[in-house]
Amino acid sequence: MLEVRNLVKTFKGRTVVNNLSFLVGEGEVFGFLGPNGAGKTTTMRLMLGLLRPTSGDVLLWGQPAERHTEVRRRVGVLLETDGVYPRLSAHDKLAYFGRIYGVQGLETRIGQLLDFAGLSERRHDKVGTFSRGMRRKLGLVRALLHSPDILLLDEPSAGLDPESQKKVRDLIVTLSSQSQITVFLNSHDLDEVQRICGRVAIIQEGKIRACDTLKALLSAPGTRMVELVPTDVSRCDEMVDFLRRHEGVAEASSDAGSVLVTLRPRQKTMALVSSLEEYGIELEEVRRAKRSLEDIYLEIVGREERCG
Amino acid sequence: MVMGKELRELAGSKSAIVMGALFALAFGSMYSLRLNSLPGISLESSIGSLLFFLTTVLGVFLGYTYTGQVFLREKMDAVIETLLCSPITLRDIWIGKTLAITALAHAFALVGGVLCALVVSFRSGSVGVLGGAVIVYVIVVLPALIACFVGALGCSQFLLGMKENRIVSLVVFAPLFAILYGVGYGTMGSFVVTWLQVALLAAGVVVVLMGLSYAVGRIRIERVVTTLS
Repeated sequence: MLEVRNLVKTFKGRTVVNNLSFLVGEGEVFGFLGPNGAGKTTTMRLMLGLLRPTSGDVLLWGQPAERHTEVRRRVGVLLETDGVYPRLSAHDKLAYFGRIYGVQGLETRIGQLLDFAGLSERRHDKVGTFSRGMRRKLGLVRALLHSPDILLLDEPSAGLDPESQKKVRDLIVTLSSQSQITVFLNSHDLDEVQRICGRVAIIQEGKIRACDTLKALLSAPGTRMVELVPTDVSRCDEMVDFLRRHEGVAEASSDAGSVLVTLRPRQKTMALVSSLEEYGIELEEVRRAKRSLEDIYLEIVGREERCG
Repeated sequence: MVMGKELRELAGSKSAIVMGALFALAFGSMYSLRLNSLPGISLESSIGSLLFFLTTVLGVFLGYTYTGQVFLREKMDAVIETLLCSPITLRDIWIGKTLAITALAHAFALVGGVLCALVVSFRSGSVGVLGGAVIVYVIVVLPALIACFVGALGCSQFLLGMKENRIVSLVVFAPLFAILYGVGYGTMGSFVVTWLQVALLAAGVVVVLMGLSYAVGRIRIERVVTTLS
């Protein structure tokens, strides 16, 4: 459905997007992660035809996305800076975009989506009076107005309250599972990505550092983490100091009565436990810590930064 | 679509309406006072040139002012990026915005012209008769002329960054407007609007509008997106 092939974008000799290739299938929720300045927004702009690739292609349903009206009609977009017309009411803004996209039954559709977003009561208020969160919700409603086949979302939950964030997450999952809508999610919210994305790409300095299913990324062999619970929890800080000096430990941090330890390669857990016991700290429990997407992300991004 | 939305926004803007009304009144007063102070000029021979220059200056000035609100603000807020992801083209957007600004600026130019003519007629105690060339100019050619000016300014605002746009406004458009104002003010009364002048102007603005439309179609979207504030 969405295919990015050897995509390169250079601005004044500086390569911002460097040979990106990935494929997003129908009904898939694809997370696109990376630190600030990694090239995420540029990639999205290239995908939307707002920028022209220096080389490579972006194909949507096998056709170049760039300036193809029919292709754009099937794409829903929520950009970082969403279109806000401060002097138009929420209803008029949606009606404007609805007419551009040729939405059938526009009034009913606007009513349904405003209800969903909890903005029905403000439908006739000027958008300029809306909070950032409300504008974001309205932007999402606008992106969904024409029932697109693919949604490209840039930080959709930014500025939303936790309840609205959950609503947006649930909506994305529903759209993907029930309506087979493909979602390309550009986000900094690793927790959000972990909850809703099936596949994830991590981009840094314009290059893809990892691209796989979430399951595969989380179970990939890499840095091992263990959680150590001392018998005397008051010695957690002392334990962290000891572990940070240990050659087999990459990182240690105290966390509510336990210590989270990132082991270096070849460091055996039981050997570390023995070292602690020799030092005089008894352990009540040792368990393998479950890696989160955040761990994977920091590991990949951190590793590249160290190498760079 | 774009025109309707832009007109709604402009008409809903108190500043745009107040500005239009104020300038219609200010320019109307200045020109009518000037006309009444000219010695040896008959009302019949000069009311045509009064309307010609007043409506032109007013229309172009308001067009210049509204362009900043309609073209530039959308670019400053980066709203245009979202719009360019939709199935309409940059040329559609340009045409819609240009038409909306032209409609409102022309309406206020007409209001200013009518008010001024009424004041002049009232003060002189007689009603001036307008020639056909002036009527055709004010009703048909003037909106095209305003559209030319607005379209050119809008095109440059699409193409240039915020700083460059300010420079262009100051260096190119502001002096152009000042010259137009000065020529009108200075030659009023001695200037007679003829059919030939109106026809030449009409032909000129049609050519420029066609050229602008072609040029807007050639603008790369990337240029617009990379010059957002």
